[in-house]
Amino acid sequence: MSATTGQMHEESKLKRAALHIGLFALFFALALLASGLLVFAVGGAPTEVLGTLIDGSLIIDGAWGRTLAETAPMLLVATGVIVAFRSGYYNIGQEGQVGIGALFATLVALQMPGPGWFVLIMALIASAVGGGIWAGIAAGAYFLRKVDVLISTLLLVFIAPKIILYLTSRESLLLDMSGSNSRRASQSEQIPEGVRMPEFTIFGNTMDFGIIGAVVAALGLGYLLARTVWGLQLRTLGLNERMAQRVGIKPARVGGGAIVGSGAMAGLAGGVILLASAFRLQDRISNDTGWDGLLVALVARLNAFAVVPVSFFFGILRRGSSSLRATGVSQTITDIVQALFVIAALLPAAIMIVRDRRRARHLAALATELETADD
Amino acid sequence: MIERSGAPALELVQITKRYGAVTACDRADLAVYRGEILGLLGQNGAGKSTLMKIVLGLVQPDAGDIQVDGAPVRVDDPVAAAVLGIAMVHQHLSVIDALTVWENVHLGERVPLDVRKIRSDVGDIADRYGLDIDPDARVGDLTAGQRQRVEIIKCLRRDPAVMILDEPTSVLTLAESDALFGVLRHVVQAEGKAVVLISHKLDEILNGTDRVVVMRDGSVVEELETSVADASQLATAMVGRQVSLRSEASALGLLESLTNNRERKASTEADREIALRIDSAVVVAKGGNRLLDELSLDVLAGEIVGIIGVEGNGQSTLSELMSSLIGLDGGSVEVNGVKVAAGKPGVMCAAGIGVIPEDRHDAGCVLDLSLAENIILSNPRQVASRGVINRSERDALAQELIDRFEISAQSPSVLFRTLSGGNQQRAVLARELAAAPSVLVAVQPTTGLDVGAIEYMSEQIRVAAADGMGVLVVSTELEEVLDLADRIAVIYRGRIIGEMARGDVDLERIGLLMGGRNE
Repeated sequence: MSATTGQMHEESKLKRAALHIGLFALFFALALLASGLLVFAVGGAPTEVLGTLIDGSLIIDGAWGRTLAETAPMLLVATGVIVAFRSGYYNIGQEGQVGIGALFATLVALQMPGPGWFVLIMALIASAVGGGIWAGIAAGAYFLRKVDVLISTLLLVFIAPKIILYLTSRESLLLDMSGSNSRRASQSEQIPEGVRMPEFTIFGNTMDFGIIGAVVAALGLGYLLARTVWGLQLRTLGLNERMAQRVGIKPARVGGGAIVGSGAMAGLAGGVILLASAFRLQDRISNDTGWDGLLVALVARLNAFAVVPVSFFFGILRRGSSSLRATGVSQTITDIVQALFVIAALLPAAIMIVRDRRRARHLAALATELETADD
Repeated sequence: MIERSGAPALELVQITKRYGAVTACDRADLAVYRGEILGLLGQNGAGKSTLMKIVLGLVQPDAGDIQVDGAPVRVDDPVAAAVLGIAMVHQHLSVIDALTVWENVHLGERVPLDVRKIRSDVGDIADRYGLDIDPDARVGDLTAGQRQRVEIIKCLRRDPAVMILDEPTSVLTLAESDALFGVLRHVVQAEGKAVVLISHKLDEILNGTDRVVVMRDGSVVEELETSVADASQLATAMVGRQVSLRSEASALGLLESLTNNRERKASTEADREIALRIDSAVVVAKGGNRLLDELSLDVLAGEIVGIIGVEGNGQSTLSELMSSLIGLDGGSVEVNGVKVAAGKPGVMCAAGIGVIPEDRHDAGCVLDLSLAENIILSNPRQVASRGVINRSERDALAQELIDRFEISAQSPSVLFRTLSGGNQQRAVLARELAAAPSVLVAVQPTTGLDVGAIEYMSEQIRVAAADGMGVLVVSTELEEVLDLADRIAVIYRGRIIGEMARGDVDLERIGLLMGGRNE
């Protein structure tokens, strides 16, 4: 009996993979077609959309290094999302946690005395602490007052940039006082050279160490989830809360820890953005990295290994659409093109989930039937 | 004596319904007249619910006729039943928490929404029947008793000729139950409606009905005027005199060897320690219903205690308590003499209480983890060092249990979801027994299993007790309890209202106790 269901399970695995890839191909073709039509409609060259996207993100000199650098923060965010979602606590406030992380990193990078490398490390730690605190507010509100995590983390997203804006537009606080009075933007001073993320170059492509840290973090999480007691407890909590309660998994510790930990990863991403590419704090410093990281994790179906290639794909889109912009296509259009590809990447996963649910229901019915037939 | 003139408001003639080899209803006859409350009494699985589902058109009978006011009718679906004037208040309330009272009352009606009319209707019905309720209250904020009023108002608003209530008092406090019976009395006397009251509570049947029908194993076994009925007669009819074949077999065969064992145990009873002591446990639900009402019970090491009772008398609460899923509002739980902080995650498990829950999918396993992961779940550190799980140790442990408990699985790493129900149950048993708990709580351990699996499960439970575990078997099936237990306790409305040793079993007394009579 269990052997037959087992076989059906194995068999469907192959078929599933084929179907998944087929769906990807189909939706990609559709996204490409729609993008081409859109670019054509605004007077661009539709046939060059794909070429520009790929050239700009992978082919031209130094492009894939920049794409990888763009990928790193998203990958860090996505890794954090997996921690939270797998525990069953839906922290979706990464966009705000990235900003607060960057804020904390700015404070340390600009104000802490000491050798550059030391300040850099402290700034990165501070960014993680900042993101963790921001998510921790939601965790505290849930475990003390049962405030829904999904809603509190979401609402905190909208508060974070206001705080940054306030701090970066006050002379006495973080506002950059250089330049003439009238041209002052609401932003902090530049991060000193010595405190920035070090870079390295391979095959003519330059990138910072953020991507290495992010890949290590994602793979490390994959190992922790699969192989440690903590990972087992976290997954149990996310899959069956009552069973978790029965075997003594404390939701406030494991689940609360997962919310704070995911916030810390998002905060760290903010620190990396600040210290590797932005170098100045602005209220829009995250620039959708939090949302994109959330999408990356969902497209990868919360698999800590799959987020690595998926985030790279999102990096290609982000990087590629900025070169599309450079060909004269307006940002509105490139944003839509980017969104079309994101939808194309998401839909197959969504379809597979719906299909899996149907199949599971069907299999369960079948198994029950077989069992009753056994009687 | 009630006068019954004319044809019955509803009559069932020779209704038969089979599910595979099981006959849920076997040529059942039932008639209810206008102006009377008919009590329908029976244990779980006696066929009451199936019969009522047939009346409501939820289930089609294999044979038999339904007549309304003397004319044969077809009831294809609940809409047809509603047209015929048959309405039911279900045991599990089907109201929606997020909506207000009047919104719930309107729900499911296929007429244009007239808010003012519905709200005034709710007010009228509330006044007429004394069902005091605020039409604008959110149902989620109401107590269980008030929520049931919403269902009853919904039912009455359709002005049915026949009202069926399925175990209506199971969620009510005693005062709320009294109020409900006041309403039902008014409905039949002033308006000539017919009411069918499904219940297992003898007092309710004796005090609240005009006539009573007792079902057992799908058949109507007794039908009489309530005024001439007495509790012991009804209890005997409900439980049945005959002990089932299965229990007889175990009593003659298997238990033979255990009898000697038991004598040996009895001689040392005084020295045996109390493995589990539940002292005056109280659990109060929202709305004041006492799910456990000063429940006290001791289980000695090496003893199997069976708790029998009709569903909904606190068994699931007891199971949740033993699974650290709920805390106590009063009283205490001690394991081997040490008090346990009930309700905190994992405390019962850590104190040495193993649980085989009734619904293993609820708090018994995690379907989307592997079999091996499920097996180590209650104590993953036994196969881990410094927090890292040693996979070969984990799989070796799982494989050992797979072999010992004869779980049919390809490997320890198969997804738990892919196992059949019987194997899932074995895996849960394996995990709980492998932890060598002081106390094993098994809720309906053999329900839904086939004969071989029942024997296997029963044997494992006996062996566990022989090894010195205190075992608590909680069940709604008398056979299961008679088969396994050394001592039998009856649970009613959240408390133990009577106990007896297996050797002194008196079925009539058990029936009375299950119906709430302790005399």
